[in-house]
Amino acid sequence: MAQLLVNGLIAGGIYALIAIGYTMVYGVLHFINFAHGEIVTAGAFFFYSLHVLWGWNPVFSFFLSVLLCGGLGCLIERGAYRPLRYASRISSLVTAIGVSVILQNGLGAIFGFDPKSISGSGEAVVYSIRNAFITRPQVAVLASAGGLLAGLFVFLKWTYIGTLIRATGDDLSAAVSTGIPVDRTVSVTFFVGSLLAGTAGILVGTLQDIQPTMGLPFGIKAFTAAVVGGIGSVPGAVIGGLFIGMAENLGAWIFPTGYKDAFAFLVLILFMLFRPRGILGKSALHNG
Amino acid sequence: MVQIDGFLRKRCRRTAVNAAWVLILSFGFSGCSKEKAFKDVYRIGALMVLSGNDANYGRDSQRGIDLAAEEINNQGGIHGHPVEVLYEDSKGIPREGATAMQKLVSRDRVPVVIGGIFSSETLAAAPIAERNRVVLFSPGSSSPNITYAGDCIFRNWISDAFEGSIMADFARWGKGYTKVAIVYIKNDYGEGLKNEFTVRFESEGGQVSTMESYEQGNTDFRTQLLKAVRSGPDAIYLPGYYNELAQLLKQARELRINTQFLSVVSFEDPKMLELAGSAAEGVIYSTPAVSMQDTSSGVRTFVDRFSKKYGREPGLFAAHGYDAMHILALAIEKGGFTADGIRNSLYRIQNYPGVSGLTSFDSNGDVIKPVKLKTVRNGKFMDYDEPSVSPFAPEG
Repeated sequence: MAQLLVNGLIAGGIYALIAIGYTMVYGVLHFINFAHGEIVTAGAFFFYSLHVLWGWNPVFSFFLSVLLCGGLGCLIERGAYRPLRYASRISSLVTAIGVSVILQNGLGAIFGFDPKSISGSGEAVVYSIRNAFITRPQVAVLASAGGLLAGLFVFLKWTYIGTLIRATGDDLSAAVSTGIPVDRTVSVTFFVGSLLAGTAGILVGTLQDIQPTMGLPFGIKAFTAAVVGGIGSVPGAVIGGLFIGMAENLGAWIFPTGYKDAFAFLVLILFMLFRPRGILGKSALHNG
Repeated sequence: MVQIDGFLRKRCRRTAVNAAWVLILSFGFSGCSKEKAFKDVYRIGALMVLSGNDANYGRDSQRGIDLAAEEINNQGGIHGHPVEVLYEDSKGIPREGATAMQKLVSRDRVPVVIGGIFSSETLAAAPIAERNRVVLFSPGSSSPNITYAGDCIFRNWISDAFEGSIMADFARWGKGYTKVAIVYIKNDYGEGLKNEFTVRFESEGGQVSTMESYEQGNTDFRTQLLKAVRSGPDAIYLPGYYNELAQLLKQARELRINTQFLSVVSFEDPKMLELAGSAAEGVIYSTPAVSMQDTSSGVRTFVDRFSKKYGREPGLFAAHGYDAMHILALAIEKGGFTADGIRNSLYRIQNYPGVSGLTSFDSNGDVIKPVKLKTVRNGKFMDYDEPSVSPFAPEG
């Protein structure tokens, strides 16, 4: 049982990191960035290239990969979404799907579709707490997820640019008219969201093998988490992520494991039926 | 000849007229004018998964096929006809497999198609092959349903029915296990092996303590493993592919699970050892009786040529693709370049010494191939030999 909670917590922590990107972008632009899952993949592959292929220092590779992901997020926003910001929402949505396909197959063309390993085949150091086992990379995942989330709250709450992001999210046109540099604010939002997604990608890469298609399932689960937590709300994304991670693992423990992937979506359906705005979401009135 | 092959391979798609022109021109320029070079190109189709998550299986098979085709052409083709393989991507999706088959049959009018890799795509393509009387030869599908898919459907990958029973016999009589848990991949392959194993093992008085499953492409198997262990098995049987199995075994190691793992043909791949490392140690799996570590000359030559050409070790998918191409060349040579001719001579092939095992076909077009057990020891795939047991003697 303790092992199940540990497993759920780790899965949840990763979902939470990715879900924040969805929710922040939605909070500001009211649009779902479906290419977000591919940033996760990109993070893992940047790190794989720098650290494994070129043999650079892991810490340096980590920070550089994360920054590259942030840059990639901005680039996508600038190139694909900004020209469509005031177009119909369906256009940006379809564009996002297109970007996702391009990134996925681009990585496939460069690296091939077969799985790669960041951690190598060596065995991870395992700690045991009571009767649960946890590996050193898993501890690192939990620690960095927690640290990043704390940092993000500080950033949004007490920094100037954080305030701008929240203000833009409250009302885009009012933000424009009060002179907030909206373009720059949106760029920062994408940068921060992609930063976290890239980090999640690298963390995931230390726990499992990486493939150009790996981001999609994480993207979908994290999106579910963002909706369950209340889309647009950052604390909601964190709670939603943990909730989905736990629900999956506990559900599979009680019911046949073949339905494991279904539990996340079952939770989503239940929320859509009984609490559409999610755990911490604002009321539906606000959804303009 | 070599330069033409390279050119042909790069551009799979061309009309017969173009191909003929290229042949004539290149031979004209290179000053080599052997009479046989002017014969028509024999074009055969191939449908397999070449993009997406599982592209590595199809790509590996493709490498084997290309190598075989190159060898055939270097030796002057089939009765002087060079062969060319036209690839269609099934993306690993049954519907796409059917479309690809339709394209090869109606547009390219090939009499024979190699493919698919996954059972689901082969089964989707089979009715089209039957309707048009075109031979479909799968180098990777294992579903028992393919045995009865039709007169024109062949394969050189062994059926789950056969493989599952062999592992059940070994578990029950070779090891004396009474309780085995199964953690399987939820597709035709995993379900097929799970069923065959279960039926056989339970008919022998064993008990399958639990059946847990996962989706292709999943990366977290901890809950499945915990549930399997909770059921208190003597061993855990793992029908699946190396992509998922490598991670599953690593996670089992991290959860300190020491139960004996049993696995299947697709376990043996160089990628498996690369990804799972020491976690693959001790797993026992069934495999065709010839393997890449064999020192017999045919296998050695194949491994050498493959490694030289592609800079990587061949896996079983490559070996089966390579054999499929050579077997078809043999069938075309004997029966002529027509679907009927190929089909009739395939049925007559007996004990073909392939790099994926000694190959014969039964009256269903199903492969008959000796199977043995192997294991991983000191980071290498080795024959499994425990002197005290005789794995296939249930009566003994």
